[in-house]
Amino acid sequence: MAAYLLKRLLLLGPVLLGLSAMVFALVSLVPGDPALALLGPYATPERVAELHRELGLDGPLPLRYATWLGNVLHGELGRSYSLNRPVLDTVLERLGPTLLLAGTALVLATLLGLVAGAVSAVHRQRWPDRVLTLLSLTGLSTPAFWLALLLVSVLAVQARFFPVSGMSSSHGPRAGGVLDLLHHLALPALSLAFIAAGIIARVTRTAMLEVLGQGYIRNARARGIPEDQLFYRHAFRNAVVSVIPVIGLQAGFVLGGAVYIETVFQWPGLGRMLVDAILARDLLLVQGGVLVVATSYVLINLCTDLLQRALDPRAQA
Amino acid sequence: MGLVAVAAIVLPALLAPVLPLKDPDITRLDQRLLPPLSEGFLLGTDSLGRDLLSRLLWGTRVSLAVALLGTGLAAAAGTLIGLAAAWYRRLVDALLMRGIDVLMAFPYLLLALSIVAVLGPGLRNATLAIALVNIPFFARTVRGAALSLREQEFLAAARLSGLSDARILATELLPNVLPLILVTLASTIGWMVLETAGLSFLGLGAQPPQADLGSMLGQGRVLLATASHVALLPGGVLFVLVVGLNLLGDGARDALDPRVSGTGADTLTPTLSRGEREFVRDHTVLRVSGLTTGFVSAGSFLPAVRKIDLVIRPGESVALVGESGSGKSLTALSLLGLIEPPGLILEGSIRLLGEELRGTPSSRLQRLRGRHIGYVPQDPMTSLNPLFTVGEQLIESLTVHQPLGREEARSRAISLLESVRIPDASRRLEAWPHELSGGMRQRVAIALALAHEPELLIADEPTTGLDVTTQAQVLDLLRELCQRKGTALLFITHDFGVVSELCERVVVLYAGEVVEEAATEVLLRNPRHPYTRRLLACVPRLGEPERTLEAIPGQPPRLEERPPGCAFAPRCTFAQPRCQQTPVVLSEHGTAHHVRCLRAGDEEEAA
Amino acid sequence: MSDVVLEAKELTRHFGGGWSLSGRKPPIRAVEGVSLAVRRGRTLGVVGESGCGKSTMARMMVGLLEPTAGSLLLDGRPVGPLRGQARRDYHRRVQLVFQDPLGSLNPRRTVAQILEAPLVGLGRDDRETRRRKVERMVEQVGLRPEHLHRYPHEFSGGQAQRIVIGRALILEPEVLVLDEPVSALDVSIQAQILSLLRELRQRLGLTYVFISHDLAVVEGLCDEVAVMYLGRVVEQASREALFRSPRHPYTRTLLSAIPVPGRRGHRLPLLGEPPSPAAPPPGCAWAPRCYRAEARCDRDAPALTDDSESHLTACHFAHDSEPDAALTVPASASEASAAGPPAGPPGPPDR
Repeated sequence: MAAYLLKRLLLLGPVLLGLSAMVFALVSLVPGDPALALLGPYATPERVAELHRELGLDGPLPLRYATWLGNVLHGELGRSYSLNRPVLDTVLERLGPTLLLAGTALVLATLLGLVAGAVSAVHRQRWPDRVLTLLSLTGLSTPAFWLALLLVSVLAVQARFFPVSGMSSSHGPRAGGVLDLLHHLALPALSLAFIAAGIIARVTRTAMLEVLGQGYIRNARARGIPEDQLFYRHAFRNAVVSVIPVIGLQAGFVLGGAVYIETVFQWPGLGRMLVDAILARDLLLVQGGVLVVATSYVLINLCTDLLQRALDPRAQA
Repeated sequence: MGLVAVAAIVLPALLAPVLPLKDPDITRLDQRLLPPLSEGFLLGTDSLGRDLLSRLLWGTRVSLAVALLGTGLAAAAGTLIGLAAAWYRRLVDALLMRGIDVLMAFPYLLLALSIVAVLGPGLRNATLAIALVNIPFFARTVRGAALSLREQEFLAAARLSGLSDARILATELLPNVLPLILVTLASTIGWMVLETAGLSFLGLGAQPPQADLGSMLGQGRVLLATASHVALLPGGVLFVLVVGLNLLGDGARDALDPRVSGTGADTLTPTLSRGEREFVRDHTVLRVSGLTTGFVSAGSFLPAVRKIDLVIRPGESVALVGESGSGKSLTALSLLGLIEPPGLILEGSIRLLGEELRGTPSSRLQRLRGRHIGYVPQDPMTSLNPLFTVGEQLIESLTVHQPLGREEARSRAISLLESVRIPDASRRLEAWPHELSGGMRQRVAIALALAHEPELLIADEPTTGLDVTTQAQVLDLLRELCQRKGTALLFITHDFGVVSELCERVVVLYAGEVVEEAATEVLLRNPRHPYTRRLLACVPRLGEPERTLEAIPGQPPRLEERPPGCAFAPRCTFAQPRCQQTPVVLSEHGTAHHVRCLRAGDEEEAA
Repeated sequence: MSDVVLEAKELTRHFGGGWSLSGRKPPIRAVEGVSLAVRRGRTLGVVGESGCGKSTMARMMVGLLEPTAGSLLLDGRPVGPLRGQARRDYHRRVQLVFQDPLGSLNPRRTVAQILEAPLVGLGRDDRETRRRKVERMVEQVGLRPEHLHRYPHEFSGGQAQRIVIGRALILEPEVLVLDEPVSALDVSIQAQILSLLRELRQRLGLTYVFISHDLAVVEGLCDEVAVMYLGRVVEQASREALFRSPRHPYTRTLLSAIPVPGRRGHRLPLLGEPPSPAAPPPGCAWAPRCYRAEARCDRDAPALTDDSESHLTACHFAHDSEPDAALTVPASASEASAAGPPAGPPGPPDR
């Protein structure tokens, strides 16, 4: 395991390098003067010239990349012209809420998906299966932003069960507390989780059915192992191992989907910041945000790989 | 159903130019935000007084066109990359796949957002971004399929045929990958619709006045409290469209992937006459009579095992011999009550130690299995759960039928492993199945089957996948254990050599019927049924190289094409017209020698 | 020897191996210095259990795998790297029949297309000639003309193997390498294919390299037999010599382990498990399981040595006279006498 971890960490290097190169290319390959792109349309010629000197923008591309990478490694992500403050500060400030939202949604989706998929497989071709299959199909066919709008319109605007937007209340008895946070988190997390849960449920069902058709399940049955034990001890465990990479992928979908949800719910996270930055063509901010989100995604996938390996003895051979 | 949903939306959208619709872009500020079913505006108007129905249909056209284009681009590029990586392997593969890895290191939507950020908002850029983001998915799928096809021998054969690389790619590889590409396409297109709509929703796709479903939703968002239909209607259309597309995708996958085909047989539950339990022991371990098992297919029943009678006495070892498709494995599974749909036991009685198993509740069957009947399966590679250690599986089997403490179960498991002569048994308890050789796994399977010293052991070709030397060791082990513990053995095999090593009595199956049954020496010395004779004549024997092997002409009958008379008649050199007319019964010729052949009787009369 | 068509000289093939984080991984030594000579019009059998390298050998002999070391000679001339025209020329003369008939047929092409492919690859015949050749071949392998337009999955295993044989023969090669051609088939079908192979050999004057794990089948078909164990040939002789008086203890054990109808349990004792080809024993590979092994067997690997009658054996005891227990015991002998041959070591069959 230790050797594998080392190997995976070493492999992480090239991926992160490639990732950073792409993020860098994002800004450098913009048609026109990158300095203009970085400083925004209202920059003075003096400031543009200054930036050219600062970033060595007149130098060859690889050299510029090296300079940029050096800066990134020192935590220097530049300055956002639209917000007029350091990119790093903004990104870090926004990272927390996004991770909270995406993490909650992912945990919710995993729990719902695994249970629904397993129940579906155990009762295959009967009504619990039909209902759950329909639900998961709905899940993966629903536009996340539409679902969010629906929930807001019904549960927040009309029924007033939940707050319409934001992360906390500015006044009221619970303002700023944990309960208040959860109250605000419920709808966004649920809308985000629904889709991922649909996909996880489908994959789990297929994996369970595949495992249930295996020779070792039949042999366990031939030894008199009770059905419940077969389903939940043998088949479920084997199915989970093959579902884990899918959960890792869902982390990507959830992080991406957060962009919509944060927009609808005015959640102060990275996603909304990115959309605003793109619309304002604040490329340095986009660059910083993408770099941070992509890096966390890579790390999440590393974790799911390690988890799968820990659960599957065959992978350790 | 998916087709209906898709058609309901796609058809009007396609027909939009010829339908009597209002111009979607004409603004009428005096008729803003009319609710649905207003005069002249079936679905109402938006914030600029534009007709919603017309805008919906035109918007759907845009959404669909963008999604189709994006999917097509992604599929084409992904297929090229995947095929190139799989075909050239080595450096090309490494470079392409590392590139794909980097692309995949970005969360999906984020990458699309970044690309739009660089290229600037707009429908064309959004399409490009979505296509680019989906390339890795196609590339990986195609590469995976192509790599596994590369290992297929027909590609090696194509190289031996002297075909050029280009021709092999075009005629051998691509046609086999194409269905997969289509399925992937079908199941991706729903996503594509959602993604492009998402970008437009954020204001990064379609730019006003042009609208697609996503941008309409985005514009309606601010009006949620006042005129919710402006936002909810496009969302609804989007949802129905994507559900339809996904259903179609599922249909396409099911049609092309035979693995996930569901059968309708589950609904056909047999009405079982619940046999009365008889506790009188008649000195048989197993008494099967009139067992008929088969498959339900297209509403009709195809028997694969026909009216089999079988008696096994305590400590006896009986061989069930037949070629593939003769119904021997199905018989074994019937005895264990492990027939699953579309399989079905139609009729017959199975008595284990005097107790009727047909109609027995499954909880009772579960307690009998493992305790009174043991089962050793054919394939040692799939017989053990790969995620549990040998010890965990042994202990589980032990504690299922009797309460045992942790330590006690462990020491029983060790002594079981020792009894199947696995060296270093206590250490092997911690071993994972994949760490054991085929022979070792088969020993573990035997240990599992014998854990409760059952009265009957059913072994289904337990040595077929093993090497001759390993087979010899496993056969010795089985014989010795059964003798020592007085276990009766039903040994299923196609190999007469193995039969004479192990069994006292032989039952020969052909096309699901017992055609001959006798003591092993009798049957080998004096086979009476023409099939048994010819089968024995086919087996090459060591030390008799000059003996000509007389092949049996033709093939065994398929389930649905069974001849009305003797099933072997079409391949039999002695067949007469009467053989083909009526079914032949199994009758006794000589002591305990049963033969299903009309000629056997004639021979006797002649003698 | 002018009658040798195809010759393998010291062929070696290793898989894997190389550096990783945990140090150098040992390569899998699938085939290690194997020499075989195939005589024109004769059939050479190569037998052994799974993992002995016989299939790797077959793939090297038809040029599907490149040897790590060693060389192939066709008509005494070295066969160079098989690329382009050289590959096509070689495959016109040497062809392969695969083990899994259905896996070696493209499921999306008809029988006619499959049989025609090698002729298309050759690019010499026009459409009409190709059609005639295909029709003739279908008949030769015992299929009917109406089968031409069906797809592989419509055929049973035996019929599919006929198609595979037809495809291999359509270029009229001289040498046919058959890799376990009948082991996936039922006995009655196996007999059909074996008799077809015999008939074709005689009619077309073919030379076969017949790879199998089934000694009884090999005895019925082959003129000369090589026995492989863990990547090496341990014994090679004419059929009569090998089956009547096997010299290597492995060959003897193998012969005695085959269950024969009507015979019961007269086996040489068998010890332990086969070793991994990644970590072969230092001395004789068979020594850990051998009933005759002595200390020197674990130390020195015996070379494959020839006696006067070109009976090659790789065993330190090959030329000792040994009272042959297993094969001279009459069929009626009791269980007790099978417990161990006089020369064997004491102890149970399993250690």
